[in-house]
Amino acid sequence: MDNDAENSSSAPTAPNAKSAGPSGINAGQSVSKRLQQELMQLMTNSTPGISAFPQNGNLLSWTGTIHGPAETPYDGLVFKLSLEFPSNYPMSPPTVLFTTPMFHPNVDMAGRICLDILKDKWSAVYNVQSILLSLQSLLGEPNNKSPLNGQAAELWDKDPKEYKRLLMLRHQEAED
Amino acid sequence: MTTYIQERFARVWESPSKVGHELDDWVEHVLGGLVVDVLFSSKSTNEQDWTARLKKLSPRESFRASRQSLDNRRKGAMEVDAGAGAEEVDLKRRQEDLESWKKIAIGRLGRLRVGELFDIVVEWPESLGGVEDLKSYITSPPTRLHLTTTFTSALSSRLLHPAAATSDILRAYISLIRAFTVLDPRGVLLDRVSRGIRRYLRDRDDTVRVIVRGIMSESLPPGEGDPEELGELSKELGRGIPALMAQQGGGLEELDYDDMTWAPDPVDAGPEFRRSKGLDVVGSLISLWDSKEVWTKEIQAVLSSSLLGTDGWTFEKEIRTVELLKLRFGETAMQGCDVMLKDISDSKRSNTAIRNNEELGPHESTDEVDLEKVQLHAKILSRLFWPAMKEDEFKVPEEVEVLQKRYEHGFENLKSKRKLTWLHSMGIVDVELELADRIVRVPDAATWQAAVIYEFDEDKGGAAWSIKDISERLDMEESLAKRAVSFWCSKDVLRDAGDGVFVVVENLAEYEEILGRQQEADGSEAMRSTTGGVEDEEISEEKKKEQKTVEQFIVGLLTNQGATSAEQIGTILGMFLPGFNWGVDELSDFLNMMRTGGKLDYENGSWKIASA
Repeated sequence: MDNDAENSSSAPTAPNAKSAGPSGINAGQSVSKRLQQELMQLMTNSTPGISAFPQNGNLLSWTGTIHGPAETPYDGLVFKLSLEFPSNYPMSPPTVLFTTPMFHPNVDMAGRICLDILKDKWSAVYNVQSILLSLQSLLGEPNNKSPLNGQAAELWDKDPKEYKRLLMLRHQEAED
Repeated sequence: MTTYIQERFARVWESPSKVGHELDDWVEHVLGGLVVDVLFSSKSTNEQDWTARLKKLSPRESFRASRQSLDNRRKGAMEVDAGAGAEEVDLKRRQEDLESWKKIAIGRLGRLRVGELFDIVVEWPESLGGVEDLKSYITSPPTRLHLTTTFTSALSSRLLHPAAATSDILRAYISLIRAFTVLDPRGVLLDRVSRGIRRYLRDRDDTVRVIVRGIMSESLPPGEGDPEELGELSKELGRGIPALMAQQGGGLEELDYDDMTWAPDPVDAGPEFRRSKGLDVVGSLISLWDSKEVWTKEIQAVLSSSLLGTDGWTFEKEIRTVELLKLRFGETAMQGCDVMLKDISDSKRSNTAIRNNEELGPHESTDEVDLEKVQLHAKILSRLFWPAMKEDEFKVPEEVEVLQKRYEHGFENLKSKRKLTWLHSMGIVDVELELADRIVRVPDAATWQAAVIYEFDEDKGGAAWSIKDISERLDMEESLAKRAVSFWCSKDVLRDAGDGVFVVVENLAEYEEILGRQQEADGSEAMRSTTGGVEDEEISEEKKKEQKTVEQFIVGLLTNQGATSAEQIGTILGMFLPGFNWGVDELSDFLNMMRTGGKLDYENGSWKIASA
């Protein structure tokens, strides 16, 4: 039984482990199982405006897509994200970055995001879907008290028009 | 010699095998003579030699002679003259020759048997003798290797292809386990040849289903116990786990230092080889998958269908099977099945209690419903522990609904804070139809079938409905209504009155007259085509669901990853979508369909989401 157990379990995960790089090899069954489930859930109960999928067949590295919420400066814009899952996910949060250039009080020029649930408030019950939803709502309701981008935080309340201008200046459509 | 063996022994596998002895005799007597003839006619010209050697024609004599001379030599009889000495050497050589001839003969026989091995396995256990012959052949590593490679290639060319039914493959695997256990009790050869077949079985979607149905075939309702299903598995299960397996403590093989019969694994054993694995048929089938979930899920599905498939209340066989399965899978894995069995025995009690409390017995009278006409019993299931049920929604007849309401009320009195949800499509109805000239009784009609025929009741004013009418009146899927109607048609209760309208056959004699007017062949053909159409629809429903998931995955993939070629899409779906097994053609057809639907664009060999 042992040998067959090994055969059967290693066969389907082999491609993932190979492409996942050094961290993927030790990632173990539980991470890929969990991410596989999340993917299935995300695909079958899709929420409009958010979406994510593993990048290049690597289960530990996903690309996410968020549509800007209506009635915010981000309405009608599409943003791409990268999500890197650690090998002990969901015990630790994934590293999430905006890959589309972003103008937002809580996002810096490199796309790094300041959001509590991705840092100290992380909990294993969060998943890709809840992360993306939180980020989408963050776009409409920035936390201006601890800005990463001071200029954006200042303009958010004072000068929405200038805010929108700077945003559009910075925004680029994602290349397909 | 090869020709002789092939003609004499091919496909003769009687047991106990006398082939070995026959072969020995033949080599000694016939072949010996033949060889001597050949040798001497070509070589010997010396007439003296001729006579001298002809004397030794009988190998038995020569054997005796050589024995004597050996004895002589041991005594140190040096006085034997030079001539006698030469003769002795000659005899000895002949004896050795004979031995090697015999070896060659066995080798040839072995080769023949190896070639036949596949048939031997399939014909098991009638072919026991053939396996016994092989035992004398596979004494050295090269012959063992020859056996495994030949057999493995025979397996893959003759059995492991899509045309073979899973149950056939399984049956072959079972005989293979048994045959190889006799052939090589240590299980090394079995371990080697079964790898391919096990890997193949893992890839088949329906393997689990077939095995579980086989194991539980005892508890399936009679009539469903198809001979095709592997009924013997249930007997095998009944035998329990062989002591050897139990000793090994569930797979952790530790060396037992008190085991005086211990011997190292044979040289040709694979590195991951484990002894005694193959001795237990059910065990090795179960070990096809290491996760128990696959099995428990299927077992629960079969169990639920057998528990709900009858209107009886006793399920001793099921209880026994579940207990036996517990030995295999452990208590926790089978917990769900336990709950299911308990649900049924509980609902036996609560059914009686509720029916008493709510006065639902056949002799109580009430204004709303004629209780002599409609009776309701229920099985109460704990939703969490039962597999998902197929739900075909439809409206149940009014009378039944009233009864359900009262039953519900009774249940909520009995167990407060719990609610009943009716699964309309799961029940069984004992239908009795009073027609003008006869009474038709169907003791195990499905609820939807009963609901449809109830619509034809003359009290309700109409005796002629089209399938569309029915599906509208009952809120029932048209395909289901169609199936119900064709069911009643096959019972000669309904007939097609033309234009897709069905009417009740009140009078059988009349109906036959109508039938007689039509060409009979026409009628039966029409019937067949109806059922075929229904099945097609059923398949496409499942397919539709699959297509929807695939579409969602494709959209998710392309939204995030950007333009991707069809080939890559296929690879990625294969990675992340469990059970995805579409070919390239099916996928590109589907992608094209999505493009026609305005969902995708195709550009430079890659697919992407259509820009809004």
